[in-house]
Amino acid sequence: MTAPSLAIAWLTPAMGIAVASVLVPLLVALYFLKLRRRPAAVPSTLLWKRSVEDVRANTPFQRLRPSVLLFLQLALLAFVAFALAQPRMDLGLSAGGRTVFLVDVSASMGATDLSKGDDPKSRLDVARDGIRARIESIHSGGLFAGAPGECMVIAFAGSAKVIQPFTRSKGDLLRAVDRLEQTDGASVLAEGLALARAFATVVDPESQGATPAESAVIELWSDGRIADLGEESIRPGETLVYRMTGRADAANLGIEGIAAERSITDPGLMQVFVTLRNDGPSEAETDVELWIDGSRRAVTPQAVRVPAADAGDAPVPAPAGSDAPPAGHRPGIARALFPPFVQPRAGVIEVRLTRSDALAVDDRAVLAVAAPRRLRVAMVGPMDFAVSNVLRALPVERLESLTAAEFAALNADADRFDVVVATAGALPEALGPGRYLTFGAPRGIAELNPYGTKEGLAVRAQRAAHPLLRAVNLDDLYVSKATAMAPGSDVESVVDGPDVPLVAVARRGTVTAVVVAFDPLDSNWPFQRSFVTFLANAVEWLGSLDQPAAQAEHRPGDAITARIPGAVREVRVAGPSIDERITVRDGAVTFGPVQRAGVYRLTWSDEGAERRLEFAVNAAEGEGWIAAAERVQVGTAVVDSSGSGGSLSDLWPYALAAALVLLVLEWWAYHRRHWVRAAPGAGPVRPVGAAVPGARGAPIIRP
Amino acid sequence: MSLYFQGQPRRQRPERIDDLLGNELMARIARLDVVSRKVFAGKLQGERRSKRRGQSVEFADFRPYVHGDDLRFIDWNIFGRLDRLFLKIFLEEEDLSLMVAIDSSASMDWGDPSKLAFAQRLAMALGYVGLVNHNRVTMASFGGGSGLRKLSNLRGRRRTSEMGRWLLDLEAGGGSTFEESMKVLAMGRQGRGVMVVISDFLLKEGYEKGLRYAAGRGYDLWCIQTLAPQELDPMAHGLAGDWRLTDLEDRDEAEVTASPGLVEQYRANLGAWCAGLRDFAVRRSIMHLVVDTSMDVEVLMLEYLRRRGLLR
Repeated sequence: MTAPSLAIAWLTPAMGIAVASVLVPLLVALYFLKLRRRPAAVPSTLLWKRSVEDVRANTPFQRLRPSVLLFLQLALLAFVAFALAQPRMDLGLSAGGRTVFLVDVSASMGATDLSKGDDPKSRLDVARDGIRARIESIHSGGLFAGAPGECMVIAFAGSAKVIQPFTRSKGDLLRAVDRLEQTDGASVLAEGLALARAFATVVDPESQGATPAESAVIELWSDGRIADLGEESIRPGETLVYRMTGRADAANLGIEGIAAERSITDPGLMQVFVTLRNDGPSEAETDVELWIDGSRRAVTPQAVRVPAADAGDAPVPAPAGSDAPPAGHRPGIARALFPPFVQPRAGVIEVRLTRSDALAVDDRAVLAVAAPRRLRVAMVGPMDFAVSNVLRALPVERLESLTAAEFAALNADADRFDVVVATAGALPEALGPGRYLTFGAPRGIAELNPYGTKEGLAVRAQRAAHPLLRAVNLDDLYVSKATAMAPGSDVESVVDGPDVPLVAVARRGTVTAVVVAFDPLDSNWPFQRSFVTFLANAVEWLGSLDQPAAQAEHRPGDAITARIPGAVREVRVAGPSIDERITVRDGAVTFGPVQRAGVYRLTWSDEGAERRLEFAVNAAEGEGWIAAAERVQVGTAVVDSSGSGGSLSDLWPYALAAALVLLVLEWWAYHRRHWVRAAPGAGPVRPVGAAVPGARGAPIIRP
Repeated sequence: MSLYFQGQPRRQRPERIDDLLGNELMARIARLDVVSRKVFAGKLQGERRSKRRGQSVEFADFRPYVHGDDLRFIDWNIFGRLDRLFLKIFLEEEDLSLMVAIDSSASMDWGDPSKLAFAQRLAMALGYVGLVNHNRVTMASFGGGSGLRKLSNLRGRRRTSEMGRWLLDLEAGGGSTFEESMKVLAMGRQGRGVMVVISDFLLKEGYEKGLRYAAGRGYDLWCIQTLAPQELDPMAHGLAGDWRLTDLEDRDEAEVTASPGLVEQYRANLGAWCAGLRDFAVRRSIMHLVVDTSMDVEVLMLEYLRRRGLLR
């Protein structure tokens, strides 16, 4: 079933049927019975009988009249029976059905566009209320209801989580709804849908209390801005109900990105760049504030104007479902930068918009920056002159040249060097924690799967956006001989040859390695400018990986791994959604996945000195577009919004009101029968024996 | 207003002669006399002159004797002279005959005041007027439980109490035998005079044949139709809603829902019924009156019946 049609659910159908089957025949039987009348004796029934006949004869539609009464009474009874069956306008959910509440808890659900009055209510709060009402309605059959249906609750953002497996317990369900937590992650449906299917599929009909044919109704409580809708599909027999949560015209202005850069000439100077994004239909203006370590440092000299979003030519909002914002919707983008300022220390940079809007989480963005630092680089093994010359030219603090044996001896002290540049053969099999730039495939990283050599290779594709390849053009690169690798899933290929990767990034726990699959001397690379740029990029990128300022920006849903130097056993992590102590294992800690945006702070004491490390997490990309979709396109099926749960209304009060109106009508019709007067001019019917018309009436002698 | 149909207690039937005819009323109506519109010749012994010849002191004529004549009226003086038998013929003295026929069928014992009680009082009053004026008064009741009953040929004030007791003994019951009773009464009538029929005339078999019998033979016929107030305006006396009405005489039942429309129709039909009776009466020189039983008998006697010419 693709688009569920409106249907009526009966909470207590048996009651309605029972009442109808008893009362309707009773009513019809009453029509066959005679009215209970008071007895009275009269001198003669002659005139009475004649009068009754006369009234009948003079009444139009006399034959229809009893049937009108009967009709009214039957209709009245029908309404009463209808009301007793407790009908609701619903979406095919029966009392005995199974329902999966699939709740979007992504950042956009934190928008407060649905709040009324002063009480700020986020979309998730509204969804909670709606789900509670749905649970109440499923469990509120009252006296005549059978067993309520089973429900489960799944929350999804970047990942999905079962909050409550299938249960009939109303209390468990309501508590599960209370446990739904807002995150600042992206909306990805796939995992939630897979979870819902896994639970909804009936494997064991006896223990699961449902027949295999009876699949659950999936209620999607979301604003419809879900990144992967287009990749999903509704399977045959599945029912997806979309409960639109949010306003379709919600506008939002937020921070798309933040970057900080130290000056090359004076590392103490820092410059901050901000990208603003407007998803509203009209141009917006805002001041942007710069906060450093919790105190306001600067404001943009004039308000930043962010152009309106381009909704495209599509008359309706384009259905969400593609990876990027759909072609129909292009947010307005504006950039702002703050003048360079002195920041010689590490710190947390925060940018805030002064203009408040429905979604608060993207009105601020944080960035943790490290103190300026020169790198310590080791060259291991016999190094090409081309490489060693370039390394010597780099502005590093220290460059040491080590043999393989020397490095193996030092390997335990991984923190001595920030970057290790080595030929593959010079590295030990057991690779210690650290960051490596290798030429050839090192034995210590099994995921590379080297299987021989290839000759005569040119570059087929390169990931131009990767920091390694910034300002690097490899169009003219020719490699005469390279190690052939079939890398596993943990390895990211950055430069592709015809069928093998030429440059790859391998990560394994605390080890990060940039692997160049060939010796530069086996190529024409050393003669190209891109060689120098690449080496500089690689050293800089690898060297700054554990430094917050340059770390890949963290997003909600990420698990954050940090290296802790020294022999620290335990660190404390504190942030918007977490505050706990975690044990250091193998010189590193991992925490998360973090769910909220903000600054996460690791603190520990190292030989009496308080040390700390800060990580910035910003709201997921794409969540700034908060205008709720009125329909979602799942695969090829379009599911219209079924409204919020609040509109699920009982029909029985209306049925009862109609019954009351019918009762009044029936009463009126009943008495109307006897108000009939003879038509004007048509005198009373002359009795037998009074054959002469025009006779003078007999005056009655009265007191 | 009493709600007759809602079961309020009814007034008692008359039990003593005083209940029928009080002293005061007796005094007031004693000076009245019953009038017949038919012409009578001369005023003779017995108050009224008759055109018929018969046994009286005033000689009229002779006629030859025929076999079977009463030998007492033979004029023996003429027989002595002429040797032939002649009879002396005298002018017959005639008095006015007043017959009051009361319908005592079950339907009359209804209403408040009861139609029968009213008929009893009216008959008593009329009979008293007849008695004090030396008319020959005959009381008859028909349709009661014991069929046709008569109290014939009362004359003189002395018979008042006898008449009263007879009237008090009337019992209502049974069906109406109007046609049969009228026929019998008309056949057995002696002399000429006035006949007053007191009834509600709500007769399913019709009143026409009975009245035709009664109206023959030159009798001056009065129909006094008594109707109870509850019959005339049932709604004002509590008849509203759903009723099963039972006919007092033949136990026939009629189920009615007494709405204003229906009651209006009933009243129209009652009016038409009375008008029909009146029309029938007018064509045969029968006097017809419809009387509400809550009417005072004295007023009826002194005002209406005098004005209409039954009394003077």
